Amino acid sequence: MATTSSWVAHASREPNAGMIRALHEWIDDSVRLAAATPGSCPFLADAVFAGIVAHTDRALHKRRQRPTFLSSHPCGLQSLAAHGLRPMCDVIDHDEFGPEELLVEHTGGTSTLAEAIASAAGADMSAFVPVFTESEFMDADLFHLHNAQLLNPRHGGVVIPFMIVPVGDSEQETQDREDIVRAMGFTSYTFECDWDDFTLEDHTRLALLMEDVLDEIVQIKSDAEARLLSRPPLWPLVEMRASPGEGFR
Amino acid sequence: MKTPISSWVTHAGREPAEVVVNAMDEWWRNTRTPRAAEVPCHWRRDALHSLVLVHVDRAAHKRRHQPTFVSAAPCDSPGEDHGLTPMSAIVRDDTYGPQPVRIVHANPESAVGRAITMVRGEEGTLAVALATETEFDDADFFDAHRASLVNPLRDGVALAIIHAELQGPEAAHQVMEREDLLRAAGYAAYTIDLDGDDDDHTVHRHLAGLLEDVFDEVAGIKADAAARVLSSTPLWPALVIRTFPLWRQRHSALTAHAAELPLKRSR
Repeated sequence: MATTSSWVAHASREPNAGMIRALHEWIDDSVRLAAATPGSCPFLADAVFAGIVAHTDRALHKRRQRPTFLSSHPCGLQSLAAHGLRPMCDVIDHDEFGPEELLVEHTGGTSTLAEAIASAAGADMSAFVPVFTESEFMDADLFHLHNAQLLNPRHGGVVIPFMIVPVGDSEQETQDREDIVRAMGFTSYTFECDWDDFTLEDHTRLALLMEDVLDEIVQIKSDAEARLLSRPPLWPLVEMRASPGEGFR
Repeated sequence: MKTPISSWVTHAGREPAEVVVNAMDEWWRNTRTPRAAEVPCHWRRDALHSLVLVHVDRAAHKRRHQPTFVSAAPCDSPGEDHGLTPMSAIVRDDTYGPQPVRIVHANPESAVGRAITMVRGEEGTLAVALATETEFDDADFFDAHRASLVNPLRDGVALAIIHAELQGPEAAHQVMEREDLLRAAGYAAYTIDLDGDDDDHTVHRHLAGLLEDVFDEVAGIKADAAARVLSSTPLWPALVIRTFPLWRQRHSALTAHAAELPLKRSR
């Protein structure tokens, strides 16, 4: 696997070509190894999930944060087996704080977004990355727990939600979804690509999107720290457009 | 220290935000209370050393590196315990928790020579040597100070910080001589003047910006080495801090000069 020096990895806002190549290889390796191994984790076996893991991990590693990923899908790994190392530990040489384990929680029937918000609203100042489908987000029984206003911008942790949405929705359906997302205290950042042919350019676009998302979160945190927030902020939520089967396998 | 800053916002921009500069200044001032004279290590007691400590620690913290600070003079800190890093006090909820500050007293070796030795074969290591100009120019150690001893691909980074203690303005040829000497040793000078004319806040902002330039240059050298596009031995950045009597007077005059011990040759 291609690796990059710790001096170079996060030297610029956008990841350099070496980092993009390394991310691409990590995702490929993750999916291929999972396919060859009976019993695995959706975060390692699925290209969409593995892409989320790799890119979110890069953006948070750069900011000295360690994410916990949450999925409602069952994990095929043995109960005592860990999920391996976080991607940046494979990609970056000689990281001062490595190696670190990849943190993944499988919530079973519970909403990943609700779990993430509850954790971040509590004493944990870390980053939580729930991945869920649109129908999970809209679940009437849990909808009230998906409100970003439950988060504390100054003293709480951070939630970076990824919602898998269908490709080919009409303009009206998209608009309706945006309105609901906004009503729940989020603002959406949309990413779409051909998941069967995830190119280096797609990686660059996703990395840039993650920079925008993290910059927005940092801005919210800064404003809260400076007591400049006059109303509850709109937290970023990433909409990943994927065909049925992608992101659900 | 007032309320520490959230780990989410500490490194939000390229250069530190106002709130971070204020926290660094507060940390720096707290190290120089009347009780500071009792502190056994000059990295905590001396205005220049502690200024370098807090600024390099911020720049390295942002880049996920843990610097080791090297100076020639010994200290009497019990068990080599120098307390926690400045960023441990400035940042709250850091993922990696409070970190002990790493300080090496190199005597009878020179600080720059020890820093270079420390990073050889250790690609992730950052060693920061603070030396007086006299110490850097010492003929007995000069060969050990050559930046060409550091391999940009395999070795870590030895950041040389040279303190030029001046009594007044320098003539152009004196500045040129210093820069030529540094260049001959394989360094490019990044110079900041502490002349006492600027307020401390302005000094903090200038020094933080200069260190961003220095570490950007380091990243550039490392990236070129990794891409195998270095056509010649690089000039590594060296920070030159010129202090003038007014600044030294305002900051208790306990500078690197006062902390300096004669090296092996002159003992």
